Amino acid sequence: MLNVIFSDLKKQLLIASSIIAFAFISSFIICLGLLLSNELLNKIDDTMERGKTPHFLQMHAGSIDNIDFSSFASNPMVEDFQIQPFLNIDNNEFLVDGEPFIFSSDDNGVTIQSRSFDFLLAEDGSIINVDDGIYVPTYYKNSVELGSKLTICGQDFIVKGYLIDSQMGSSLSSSKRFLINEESYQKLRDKGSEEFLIEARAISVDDINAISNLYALSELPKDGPAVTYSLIRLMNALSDGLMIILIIISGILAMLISLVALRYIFLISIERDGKRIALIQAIGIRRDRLILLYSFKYLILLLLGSTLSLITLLLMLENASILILLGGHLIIFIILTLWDYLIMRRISKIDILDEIRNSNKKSNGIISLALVSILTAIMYCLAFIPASAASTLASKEFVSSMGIGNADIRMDLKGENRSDIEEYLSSSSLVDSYEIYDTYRVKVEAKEQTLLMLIEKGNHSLFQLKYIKGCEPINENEIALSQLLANECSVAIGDKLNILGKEYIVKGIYGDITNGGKTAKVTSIDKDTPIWSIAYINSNSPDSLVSALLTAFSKAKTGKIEDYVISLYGNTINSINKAKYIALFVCLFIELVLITLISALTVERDSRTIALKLAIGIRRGNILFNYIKKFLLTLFIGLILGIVLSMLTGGNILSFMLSFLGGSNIEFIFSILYSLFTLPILMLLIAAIATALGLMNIHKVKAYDIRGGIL
Amino acid sequence: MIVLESRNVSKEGLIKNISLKINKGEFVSIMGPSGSGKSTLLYILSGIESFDEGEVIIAGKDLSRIRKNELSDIRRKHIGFVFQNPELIPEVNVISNILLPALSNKREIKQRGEELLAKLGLAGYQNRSVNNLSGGEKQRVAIARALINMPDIILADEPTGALNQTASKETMELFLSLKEMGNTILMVTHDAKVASYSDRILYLVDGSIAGEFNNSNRDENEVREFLASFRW
Repeated sequence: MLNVIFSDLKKQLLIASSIIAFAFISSFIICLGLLLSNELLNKIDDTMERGKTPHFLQMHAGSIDNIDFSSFASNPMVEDFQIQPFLNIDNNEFLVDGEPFIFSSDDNGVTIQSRSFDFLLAEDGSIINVDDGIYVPTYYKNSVELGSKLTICGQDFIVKGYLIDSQMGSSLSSSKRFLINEESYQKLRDKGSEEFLIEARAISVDDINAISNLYALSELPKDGPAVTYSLIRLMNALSDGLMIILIIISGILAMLISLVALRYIFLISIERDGKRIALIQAIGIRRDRLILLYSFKYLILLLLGSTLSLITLLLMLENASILILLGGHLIIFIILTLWDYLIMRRISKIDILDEIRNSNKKSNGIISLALVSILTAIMYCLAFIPASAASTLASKEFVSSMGIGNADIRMDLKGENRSDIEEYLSSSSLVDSYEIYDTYRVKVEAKEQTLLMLIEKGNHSLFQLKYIKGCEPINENEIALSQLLANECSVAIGDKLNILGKEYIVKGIYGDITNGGKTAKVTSIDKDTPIWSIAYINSNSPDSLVSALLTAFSKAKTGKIEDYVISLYGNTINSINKAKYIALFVCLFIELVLITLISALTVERDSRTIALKLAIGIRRGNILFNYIKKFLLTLFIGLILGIVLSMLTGGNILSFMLSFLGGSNIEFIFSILYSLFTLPILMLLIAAIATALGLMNIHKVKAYDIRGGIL
Repeated sequence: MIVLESRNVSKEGLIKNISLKINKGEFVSIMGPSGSGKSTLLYILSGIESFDEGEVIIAGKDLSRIRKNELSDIRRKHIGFVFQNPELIPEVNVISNILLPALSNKREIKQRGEELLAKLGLAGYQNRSVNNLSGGEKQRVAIARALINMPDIILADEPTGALNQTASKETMELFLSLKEMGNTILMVTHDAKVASYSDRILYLVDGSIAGEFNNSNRDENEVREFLASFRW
């Protein structure tokens, strides 16, 4: 019995290889995503474990002389305490082999190796012991080669290696640390502005927030942002995390496509084998046994596809987690097997007499074409989502969803004189509008706890953010809060908050991932010295204005908003662009396989009709042309469906993905050129090639075949 | 007027040096035992099957000298084929099946299709599904399809092979009436009763024409006597 059922596999190479291909694709992509996620999280945890990342960190840009930290350091919750220096150096002072170093991060500086924790690690995970030379963050691996000469403020260093920074290594961290020895550090000390990382490790991770609050409420220096272990971990995960999320989404879509395609293939096989199945039943083999036998037939092919995927991943990825590799493949294989069995149950619908008597059966031509449309729509979504993620992240509108004003230029005033800058901006013909926002660190009492927040004062109607709820504060007694802060304070629109003895009404809530995410906005506050001031500027000639400002105010950090976004998300955007191309490749590959298969199977299924048409004198070219017309029209309908579906649902999917970045209410931006022209044209081109390949079999059908016994 | 002619046509192992002429308005049967090459001959004469030597002339063209596209055009314009199995397309209705080889999409052709249906006793069947027709009805639709382009000749391969006795009789009477309307028919059959409807019978043995019978009386017994002369 088995050899009767298996005997035709050799003749049905197209079907067999397609089943293997789809089992391979779905297993491969999903397991790849899972393995990469696991590898990433393990890598992060391992790095943070080895590096002994601080549980709490307070940056301070100022002196710590004569400050007594002993009370904080000796708190029973604190396991270890240290203060690490970070010498912030102007980016222009960095040269690589005599050429300017191109930075994609805001703040770059040098430091020395820690004594107790927060270690900077070598690429092999060991703690670096610097004799001489300099160690460069792996973030800049592509910009600096080993052995090259790095000159900082006139002092030469040879690049000895790369360092892994568990704290500032992420692309979302705006600061990067270069490691030198103590002697070199002392030589450079007066060449930059020294900041301090006031760091603590907790005895219990449950006490991290308490330690953070303890410091915030103390009188200890806080001229800079404070972060905790969990935020550092999140930032570390996000850079590559988004790409992995996209791969997993692609995998799920690929799985969906595979299931639909496999259903089609199984149904065609059953139809083809109808007579044989009927005969087997006619001679007395039970239906349920036959279903099991046929399920087993295709199960072997599914197993082969899954195994190929397993072997490929084993060869591709070193040190892949065997548990995830085997577990992932097993789960997908079980899903495919169940699917196989469910569809094979169709065998029970075959009528024995009908099959034996009737050679001219109705084929599901319309269903095949509908399938092509649906699958085309899904494949379009597969390619569209990562592409629109990339466009959204790179857009100005996204920036304002993230707590950054929608302006052309951002200027961090730093050590410059504020009134000089105001005078310049108000008189420059290149400036259309500007506003300087001052940020203060303020304590607030809210719902039985005291919190530290960063409040930004200014006219918030000018460089508006996208508000999740409500709007910007306009009156002096109004305040807008970041989502994180609003949650911590447990306040909603209309609630009141007491800040520095004044009552503010909550007017709006917005997303913000800058500066630890806990920020607020007011038009007025009773406080004098801001911790920093940022000017947002709209300009009729941004590039010229940036150059002019850099010349006039060299201490300030001035740049276009796009460059600021790139410094925040540069690597993330690169990762998503990679995912965009991976998804595009997967989409086009699946489309090629799928449409070749469906068009080839359609010809096979219609071979008797084709033979008839040839016999009665219809030209082969006309028959071929009609098929091509039908397929391309179907594809076109599928593309329209895909575009509509993507526009309707893409925003929701994207918001879900990008909410991991801390923002909500993200405006969905897509490239019209890519979405409505490039991608559809590419898909139509591949579809045309696939259709031509699949329909090539039409030449095997001869008019003579009408004489009978062709299939 | 000669509608179809073969001159010394041979196909290795199957057909040996056959020359025949079919005149306009004739109804000719090709008979012979199994394996004699009668269906092969029919398919060679229609251009569906190739041959090794000789000539087949239809509509003034030698089928051995023309390209595939031209061959298709000749089949479509000048030949109407009726197969043993009606070979209807189950996904489309009756009228669409009939119009399958139609040379244009004009309304006149559609009207002709409906007229043919009426002549063949299937008036009002245009929009029916072919899956719901009886064997005889299906064969009549197939005949209508063969006639849609008003071909020079109808070639029929065992047209009653899949039909019961009643349907077979109806089909042959239909063929006779088509002949009387001026159509030319060349038919392959193994059935003496079916062959008795034709004007002339060619008998094939081992790929060659072994005999020819003028069946002007259309007498089944005479046909059987003719056939008996070839028994061994």
